[in-house]
Amino acid sequence: MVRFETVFIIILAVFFTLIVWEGVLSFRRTKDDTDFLLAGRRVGPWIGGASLAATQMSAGTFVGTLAVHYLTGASFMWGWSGIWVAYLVAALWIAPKLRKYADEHGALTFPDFIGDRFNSNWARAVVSLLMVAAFVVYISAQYQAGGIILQTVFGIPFAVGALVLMVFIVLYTVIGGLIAVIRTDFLQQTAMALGAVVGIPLAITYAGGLGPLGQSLRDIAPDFLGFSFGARDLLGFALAFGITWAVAPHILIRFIAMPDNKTIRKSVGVALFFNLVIAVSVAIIGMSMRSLYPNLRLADAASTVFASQLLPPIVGAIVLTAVIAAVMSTVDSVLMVAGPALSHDIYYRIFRPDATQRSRMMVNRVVTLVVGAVPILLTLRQLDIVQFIVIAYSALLGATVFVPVVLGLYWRRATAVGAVCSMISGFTMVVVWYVLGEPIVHPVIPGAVTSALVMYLASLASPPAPDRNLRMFFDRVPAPRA
Amino acid sequence: MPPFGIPLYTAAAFGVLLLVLALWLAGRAKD
Repeated sequence: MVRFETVFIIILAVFFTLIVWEGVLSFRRTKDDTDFLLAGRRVGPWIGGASLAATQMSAGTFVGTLAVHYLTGASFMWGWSGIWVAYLVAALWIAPKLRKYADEHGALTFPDFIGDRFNSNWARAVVSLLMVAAFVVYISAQYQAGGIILQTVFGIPFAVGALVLMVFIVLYTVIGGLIAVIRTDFLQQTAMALGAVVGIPLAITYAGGLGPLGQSLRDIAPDFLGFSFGARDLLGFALAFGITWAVAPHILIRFIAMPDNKTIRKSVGVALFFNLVIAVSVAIIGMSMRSLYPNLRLADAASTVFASQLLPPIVGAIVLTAVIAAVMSTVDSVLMVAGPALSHDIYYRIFRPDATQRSRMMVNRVVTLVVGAVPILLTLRQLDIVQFIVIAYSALLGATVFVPVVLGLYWRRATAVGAVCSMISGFTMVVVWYVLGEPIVHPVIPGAVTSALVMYLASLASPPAPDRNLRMFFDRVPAPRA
Repeated sequence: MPPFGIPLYTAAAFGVLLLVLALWLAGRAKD
């Protein structure tokens, strides 16, 4: 009998070799910022949609979401609804306007957009910093998920596994850029979907068939198959996910890398397909694991135990490799936004507008390295289960950027002062609400409401943005007379 | 009662609905 660890190591090694090879190839192809950041804008609906799904679904999904289903049953499925609606909102109302703006102005990053729309380097700097702060929380959850997998399979200390993974991913991102990342996303999505689909019948068989499984799930807790999370929680989860993914910079940058609106909408269909297959699989597998292994010490280990003990070794190894790939894909996608936010938007735009292309690339890579490494400090503390860290990140980012983006695109009177105050107050309110112990509602709700109110009031109390900045977003603004 | 609970089926049905909507909208996209 071949040991699972051996098969896993071999498949992991093959995967890493392929990925490093891709990375080296794209390092040679990556000639400038546009290639590095937007994959040269040549992405079609299938690759683009898979890439959206791969970016959205992180190891947080496979390790974290599965763990929440393991702990609480079926109802967390409704948490996804916010993400699904957000894809459509982004495709219909956010991405097309941003893409047009990116076409006309050659702006590459999310803070570029904020800076241009509000004509303010302050707004640019604040959004960059807060975004990166939220990303640090998110990346820490990804390393945590990876560390738990390596710990559960190989018995190596959690900290060692998380560190090794961090070093590899950060180096890979620094070298490869977005082309390498997007190319591996499709493979990774397919592997994860296949693994999950193979997993369901196996889990059901091990549990003794559908009937006995259903019975044993009902016996776990009265509402395990009903709404164990009530409306308050589910609304909070859906809203936190929703307002984040509708404007998440690392999702929008993928839309901007597509050639037209038709491709954008098709890619949402493709992303939804992958999301659905995986959401349902993860829910069923998580619940089945509760019936099969009711006493796992760490809920976040349920997915790894499933892959290493229930699946045939090769399938299990492919699934876990895909999950490690999900950690990579998510971290490098986020780093592709976070690195440039600091290097391009703060260093180049604010401090050194005369920097050469070469020194900009250099600074970008150094910053990416640092932003990728810092989250490991949070990871090592393991503040909560993976899924709830991901939700905290969503609440932070959503309450910071949703209102400035939406009102920035659709309300002429929104100003820089409004945006800066809105971002800072939204982010702070979420932190405060968490510190208070989440009273009455989920922190995202007071965060988003504060952000919207402050945006409205502070905008009206400050002078409007100059017409030349508004014209690119509001077509009907007349050109100024010469 | 279905084996995996009403929330799972209703949420999945909602997702399928949005998927169909996205593809229908793709057919109507103008550039």
